[in-house]
Amino acid sequence: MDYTNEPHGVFFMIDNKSFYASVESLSRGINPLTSVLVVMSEAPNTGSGLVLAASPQAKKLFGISNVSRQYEVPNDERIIVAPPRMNLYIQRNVAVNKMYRTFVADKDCYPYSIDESILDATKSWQLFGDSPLEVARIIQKKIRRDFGLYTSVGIGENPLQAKLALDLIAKKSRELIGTLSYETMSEKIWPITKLKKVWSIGSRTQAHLNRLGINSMDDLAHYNPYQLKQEMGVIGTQLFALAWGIDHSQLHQLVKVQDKSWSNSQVLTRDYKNQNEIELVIREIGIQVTSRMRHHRQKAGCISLSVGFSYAASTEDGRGGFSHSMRIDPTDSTHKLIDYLLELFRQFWDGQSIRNIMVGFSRLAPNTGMQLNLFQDPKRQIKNDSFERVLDQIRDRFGITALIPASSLLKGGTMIERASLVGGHNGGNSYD
Amino acid sequence: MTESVKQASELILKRLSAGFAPKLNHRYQLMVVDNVYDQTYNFFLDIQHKRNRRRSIPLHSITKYELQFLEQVIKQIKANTKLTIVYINFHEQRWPLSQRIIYGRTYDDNKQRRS
Repeated sequence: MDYTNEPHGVFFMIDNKSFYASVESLSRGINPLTSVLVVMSEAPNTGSGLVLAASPQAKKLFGISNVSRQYEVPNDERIIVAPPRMNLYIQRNVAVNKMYRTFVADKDCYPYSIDESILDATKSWQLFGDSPLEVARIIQKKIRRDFGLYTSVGIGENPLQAKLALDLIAKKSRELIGTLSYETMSEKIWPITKLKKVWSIGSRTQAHLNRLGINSMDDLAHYNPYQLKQEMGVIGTQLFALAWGIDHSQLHQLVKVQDKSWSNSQVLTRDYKNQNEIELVIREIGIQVTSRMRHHRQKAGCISLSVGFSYAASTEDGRGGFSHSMRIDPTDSTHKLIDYLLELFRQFWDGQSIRNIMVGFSRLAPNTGMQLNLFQDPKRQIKNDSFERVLDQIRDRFGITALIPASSLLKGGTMIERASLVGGHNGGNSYD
Repeated sequence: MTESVKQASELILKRLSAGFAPKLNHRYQLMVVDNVYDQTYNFFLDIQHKRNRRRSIPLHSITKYELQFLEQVIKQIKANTKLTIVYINFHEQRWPLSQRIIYGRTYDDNKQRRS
């Protein structure tokens, strides 16, 4: 393989080791590597409780993994259980990224997730050390000194290699650093036989590859790429490139989203059977999504509603739920959108008990002005419109719960309880 | 927002009483942590059953990173609760007013920081 025309840069993919658990350990004054701590969400919709993160020792001693359930965590005096504080983690992530930006230009630091970031240090690594490896060590030390956090670093010539180096090498090495280059792909990546350990390969793709007789990365690299494309489409070509460590992505060119949409979903705390209760939740989510959309001065031309049945209902029904969309006259009126949603719901709901609900708006258009309807009183229409805008302003200033429909106080309403959640979990003490 | 001693101690006591529901065979402790990274003092309620997991409930973080301030807050808290207070990572500093050494436990000793 001739790599001369491929991009050769220096990329760091940095991951905070057990991020949530480490932040919680540090705020309790415990070293993240020695603490036995699990962050457990006890929000009502997680059943008995869900482990969001476990510290390295908790994983090692008790085999606790993330997304373990509460009953899977042993009753042992050594384990510390902490409730999640999502706001704190977000703050810490912002601070850590700010530190990364002292090593690269602002535009070369790309947050990848709440605990991972990609740094394009191609132009700046020489300022900090004699080799990328040395710079990686400096970054690690600095993060540990200033935040107490431990980081793993993957170093590669492109973002893909950095990610693979992080996942497959760095996390297992003693120094928590892994390096990959075009030359070392064959030596370090090809022997891998558990394909789903590799980034972008899930268990379904693994099964598909196995059916084709591909059982290792070596097989994948030496498969006929044209056959692969025929079998798996564009993804086939991507996987082939992956095996050779080739990545043409240009991080500074933002991906253009073709059809943006707004949506919110929630898992209910129990099975909802009563039509009024279900419609109440649909209404509440509708309000939430509309207000987000209005913030961006847009209106929706299409609404969609997905409903997931409860476990019992889905075994009985044979379907897991239903999902439908409807084209509508573009609008940003909460009332109209909710009416459409309820119409859609009543059309397809057949009395099943329900466990999760998603509401989405798409086919967005800029809200340039209000289109008056000839057949209705124009003053009334303008009044309705300004009324909703005032609601938005009040909520912006005083929070979502400053004004809520009285119906949210009825049995089944979830709006008030959800207002303090971040990403579906406890945001932490509001005074902090 | 600068917080007064009264505000801080009242907030901590309020949250403490919300989380403190004495049950048989449980040990309750108030943990105070000197967090050098954020320059804060963090308060936690620690609940431990004999053969069960320890639950640690965050109560508050004092952002005014001065021992003298903390000493006053602790004084207020001690006046209102009899819970044991455990000091973590204070590295035997002295209380500025009483000049007593703060004895406690050390769980994190960051070598990077000292150098």
